[in-house]
Amino acid sequence: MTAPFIISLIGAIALGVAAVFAWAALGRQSRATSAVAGGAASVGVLANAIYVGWALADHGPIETFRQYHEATLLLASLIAAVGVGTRFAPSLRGLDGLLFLLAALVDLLALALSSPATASPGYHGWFISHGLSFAISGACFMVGGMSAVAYLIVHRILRRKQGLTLMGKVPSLEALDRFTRWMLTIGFPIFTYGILTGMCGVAHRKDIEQTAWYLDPTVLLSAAAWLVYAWLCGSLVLRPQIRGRRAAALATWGMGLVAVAYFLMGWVSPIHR
Amino acid sequence: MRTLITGCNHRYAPVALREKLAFDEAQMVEALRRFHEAFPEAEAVLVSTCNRVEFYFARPVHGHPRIGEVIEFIARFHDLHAADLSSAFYNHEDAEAIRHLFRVTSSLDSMVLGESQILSQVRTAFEAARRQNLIGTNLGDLFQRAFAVAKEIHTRTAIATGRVSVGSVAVDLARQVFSRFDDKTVLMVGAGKMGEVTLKHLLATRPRRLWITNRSPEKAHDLADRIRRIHQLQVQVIPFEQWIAHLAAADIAITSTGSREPVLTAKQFAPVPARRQYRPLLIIDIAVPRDIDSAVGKQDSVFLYNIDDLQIVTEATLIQRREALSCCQGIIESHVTDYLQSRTGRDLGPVLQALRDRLQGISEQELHWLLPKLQNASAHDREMIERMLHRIAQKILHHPTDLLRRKITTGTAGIYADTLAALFALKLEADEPPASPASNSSGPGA
Repeated sequence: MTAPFIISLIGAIALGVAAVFAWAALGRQSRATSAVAGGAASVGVLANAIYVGWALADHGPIETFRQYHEATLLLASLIAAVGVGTRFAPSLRGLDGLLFLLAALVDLLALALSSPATASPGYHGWFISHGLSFAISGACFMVGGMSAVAYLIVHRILRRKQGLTLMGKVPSLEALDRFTRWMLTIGFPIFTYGILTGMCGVAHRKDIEQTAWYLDPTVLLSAAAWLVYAWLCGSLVLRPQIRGRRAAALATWGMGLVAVAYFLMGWVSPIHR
Repeated sequence: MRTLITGCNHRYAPVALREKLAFDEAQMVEALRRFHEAFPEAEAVLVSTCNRVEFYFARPVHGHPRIGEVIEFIARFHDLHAADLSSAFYNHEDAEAIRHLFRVTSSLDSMVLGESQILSQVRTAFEAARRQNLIGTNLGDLFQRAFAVAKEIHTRTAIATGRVSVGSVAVDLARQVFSRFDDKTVLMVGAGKMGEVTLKHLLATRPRRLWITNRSPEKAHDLADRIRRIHQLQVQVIPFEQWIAHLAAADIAITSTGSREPVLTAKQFAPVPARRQYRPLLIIDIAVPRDIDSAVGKQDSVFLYNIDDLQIVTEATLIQRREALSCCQGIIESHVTDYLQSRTGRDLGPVLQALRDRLQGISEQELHWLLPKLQNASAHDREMIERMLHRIAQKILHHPTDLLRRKITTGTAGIYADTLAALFALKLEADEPPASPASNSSGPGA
């Protein structure tokens, strides 16, 4: 087993344990269970962050963020770190379990992405910001998407009037809605910046400039995700009827697009692989 | 010492009797002071709430007060006849009394199963008794154990989870939809009693403003004045004809009118969501017949709950709590057994010591009789005789000591200890046999 594999496994297990205990703490309202969740999440975040830090020191930022594995570990760490952060916001109580689960899944995906990429000419300093901006905006969209999923669950409970005994144990609709908006508002400009720096990359890399790079699946899906988020962010400001359940459903679809673009298409993409 | 309890509660005594028997703070202090004067060697705690009046006391086995004397004491304090109380009073002794106290503090004996108020009420009663020097080792240990049992039951079981009143469920619903209330407007439609109770619960969230409307404006103004006095809130009375228009700016609406027809139909409500910019609206309709057409609740941004919906939640909570009962009983039983064992163990010490002293005394007496008669016995012979007597005493003691220690776990050690004390005429401290864990109960609660 290689070091990247072991680190991803440790991160995934720790974050999975954190998710299970966070949900158990929700039902039992137990401080000990909640503390285990916090501890396990911290272990997961630290394991990932230490590995990324070590890779940065050893290979430098360009080589580090060119590797899908490291970039994905960073994404998992960011999602889990937001999860840990929500534990300090009483209005978002209960969201941490979903975020830890998401981070654990991302960590598991990092396992599949642990083969090193081959070096290509034309990488420059701006590439660091391209990789970082995708990791950060991806984390924002995924966290926002999870918050939107939680919104849909709570909305369904309240509308169907079933499972109302969960009241008080999960975040309120208003808190989830506000949190989703924050994540989208932060994520969208960073995502836009990531796309712009990607286009700069095409201009700099002579080996792909002549190819049909615009047909690359990651490029296409990223563009589709950008359009969805642009429309969603615009609607949140301009169209009052796109709020609540509709906005949450759109944010969930957006999260799906980003996840597919990042993980599945990125894997088969000729210029991102 | 024996532990006893006599009293009445909501199950066996009507409210008319309970209100006559209730002790306010000053009366409780006075009653405890008089009790201490009358029975200086007894320990006591007087618990008086709106649902129960109970006297817990511990006294020497053959000492005072007896149950009848305590009932007489309570009756005399309130200028009542003891005979009128006896039929409504229950009495428990030792194990039953301990079990009853554990059930009371854990709120298994409360009118609303799992409510948390009783624990603080018993704590207050205990502190009041302590201030009057009525707490000794017996009740001190017992009540501390009772508080620990209550805490364990509340944390380990679902007995105290969920909401059991319509008002508190309404607040929970509001908190599930909204995260902050300082920017929210509550609209109260109707000025009925039930609506007022729900509104008072909701006002605990401290909303920004309250609008009240009613067909009769006088009643709306009366309610507004009452609310202003208590909550110091921005309260405005709006004309009943305009309340639907005001829904555009409200976040929570409580409806409780006496109307036979819905006061808000889907058609009337149709333009409201757009005017509200599709912000969420929580409507709590506690009127019967319902005030709000159920089609209104089909709007995506509307969360409409009627009285049945709220009662389903309270019922679910009660079912959840009832399901936790058997687990609670198990915890209580284990604590009762454990407490009795530790107490019996503590009470057996003097009996065993007295038995040892008794046999040692007899041995010494016989030695004093024998040794002067053995002129030719050597020092070694004398020592051997002394050792033999000591060994006989030890062998006689071995079996009863062992038996008593084993019987602690079965709860019958007290009976054996009583028998031993009687058979060997043991002189115990305070000249009394040890407490028997065998228990009795009587009265309506038995």
